[in-house]
Amino acid sequence: MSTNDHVNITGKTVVAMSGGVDSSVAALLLKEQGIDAVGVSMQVWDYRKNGGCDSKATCCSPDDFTDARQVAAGIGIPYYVFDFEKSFRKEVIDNFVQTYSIGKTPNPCIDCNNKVKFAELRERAEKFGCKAVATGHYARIKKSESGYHLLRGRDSKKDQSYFLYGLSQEELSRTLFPVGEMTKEEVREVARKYGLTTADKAESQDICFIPGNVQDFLKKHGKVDTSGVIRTKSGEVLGKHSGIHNFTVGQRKGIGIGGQENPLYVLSIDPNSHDVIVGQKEDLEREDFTVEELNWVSPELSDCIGEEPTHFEAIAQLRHRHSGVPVTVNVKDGKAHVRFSDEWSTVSPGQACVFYDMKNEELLGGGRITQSL
Amino acid sequence: MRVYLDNNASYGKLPGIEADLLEALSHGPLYNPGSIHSDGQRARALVEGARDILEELLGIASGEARVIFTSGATESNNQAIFLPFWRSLNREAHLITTAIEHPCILEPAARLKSLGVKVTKVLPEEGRIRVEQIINALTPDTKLVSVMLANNETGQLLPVREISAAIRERAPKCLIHSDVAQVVGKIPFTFSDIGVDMVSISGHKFGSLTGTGALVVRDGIEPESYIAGGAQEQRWRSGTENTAGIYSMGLAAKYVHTHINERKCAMEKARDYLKNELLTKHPELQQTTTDKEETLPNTLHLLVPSVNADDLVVALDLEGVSISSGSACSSGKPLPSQVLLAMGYTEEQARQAIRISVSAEHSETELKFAAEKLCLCIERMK
Repeated sequence: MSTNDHVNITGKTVVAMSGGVDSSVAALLLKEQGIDAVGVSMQVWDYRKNGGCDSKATCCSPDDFTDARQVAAGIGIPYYVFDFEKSFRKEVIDNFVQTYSIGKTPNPCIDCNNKVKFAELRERAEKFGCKAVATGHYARIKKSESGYHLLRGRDSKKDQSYFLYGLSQEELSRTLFPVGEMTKEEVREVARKYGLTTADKAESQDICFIPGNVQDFLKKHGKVDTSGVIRTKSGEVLGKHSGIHNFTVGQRKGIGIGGQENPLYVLSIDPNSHDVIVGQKEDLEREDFTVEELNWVSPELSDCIGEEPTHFEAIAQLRHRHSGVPVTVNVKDGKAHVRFSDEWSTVSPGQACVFYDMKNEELLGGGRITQSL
Repeated sequence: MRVYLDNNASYGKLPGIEADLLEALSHGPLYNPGSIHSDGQRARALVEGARDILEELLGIASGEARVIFTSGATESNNQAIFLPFWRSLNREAHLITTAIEHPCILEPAARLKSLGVKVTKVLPEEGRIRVEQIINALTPDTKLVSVMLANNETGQLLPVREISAAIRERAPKCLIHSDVAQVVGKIPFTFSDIGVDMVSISGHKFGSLTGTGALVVRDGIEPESYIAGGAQEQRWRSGTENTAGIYSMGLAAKYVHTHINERKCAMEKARDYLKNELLTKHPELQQTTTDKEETLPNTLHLLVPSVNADDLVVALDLEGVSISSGSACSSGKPLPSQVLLAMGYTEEQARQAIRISVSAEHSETELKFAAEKLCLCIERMK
């Protein structure tokens, strides 16, 4: 069950260890395969200074590093903690706050993967003479004559490829996902078999740097008041809200307006007036939308998409844990115009739209949803 | 090949002690030195033998001071800092120390402060602690002055002897303590040389097992058991003595005492070799001490401009060379060197400092290897 065939490993490999079971087993598997692994944890956020690490939902807290250190010592690999706070704040936190303030929905995990984990960590790894980087993501990489293919993890329930659409061919050639062929239960079994302290550790949930609620976090991090009214398209005010960050386009639960005949959905958010516009489900229905800040992962697309408009069919995944819907994609001038083929799905500006092949297996590329037309 | 250049953290060799230590352990368990029977007496003999050697090492005359075994310099320093304030914790009491002490001085001092004791932390001026600064801080309520003999990061020596002499003139009742953990086994000195009332030492800094240390206390100072219990160590420190550790500290003390001068020369030679190699190939490196001042013979403390010292430490580790940065790593998060910040360096500089601390036992091959790897990694990290 080797998942490293695509990488010609010479020298040392950095394995990112969060203190969770997936990356613990990733490190273990590398070691078992005779790879010279170097465990690394990324200190991205000062939990004590920024409001508690009581929440069990976090990863990368000091307690998690204790677990990671223990696992590394147990399997016999060197282990270090690196300070990535500065870039995490710039690339993830600032963007998180900024995106909410303009009425869009941020995806900090994607920023963290693209701009911190795979960018900074790789740079650091190279300084240490490490060629490859391994993580505990549930995703797979296959090599063909044309290049490297990023596939969904074998365990469809745990698949994390959605977060990895920012990887380049060059990065794929030096990235390992040792648990990509396994199910979560298999990962836990391996961890138990080897007596890893993290074997039965709870999953990290939600957003790692927010132990409490988003509103408190935004308040603390310099976010201005974005309270406003909740209204219909025609302007009828239904109530007030305490901040636009509480809303995501397509959201149904937690809008806070009762007594309606049909359930209300968030249709759009006005970042200037702070109005949250609500309506019926069919008001959300649309035929197409736009995706920018594109990255093409598959070797075929990364080669052919350039000046010329490109047209292809794909399955679009519009958020984490979305199973994907068929679309047609037209790429022109660095933007993807995406049209639903049959069924439509809610589209939240700010979230990532990730394209897979028609088998919904290989990740082709992705970008950020800028608007629903 | 691995070369260990972090001997200020823990001395990397156990010179001349392995054979004797294993021999002692081969006779079975080291019993409780407090027991009446002859098994206990054998343990007692090992402990007392070690005490004699430490007294000899520190040049302690009969009736001058006593050696109290502890678990290490951290415990000794805690005990020394709390001692004068233990019984009469009042708001008038005053403690003086310096801002470049080890955390095991600064943290107990902070705790006393939170309990109402007045604490003065003297900041270095132009990077150095001067005698006048300590003297100027004295008040009629000063109960204790604690100044380290050598700084663990920079290797600079502090004028403890002059400070003691000046305090004696002005405040004869004030107790004086010095953390000498970094100096034992590196530079010859005696307890009476530096004229203090208490010193803290750490066994593993000069080659014993970890978990051993001592507080040396001038005779006449009333015992105060920081750890309460069975009143061992002449009522100074309860708890069954760490017989094997104490014995190993005695063996190490004997070894370094016998070879102190040649060891000092060997350390200086090794340090100067590395210094010349590094400064020749990387003239941008900055020493935090000058060649004119007296420093620990084994310590080379350098700022590596535009390089994160923690990264450099990792890169070198992966190449087989152990050094340290000045950063304190509390619960995984590396902080900039508090010593350098206190000395007036910027936070950026305080994250660029590496400490190379040699032993007296390096081969030429080792030093050549280390110099090569140091130059290679500094080049790569830029």
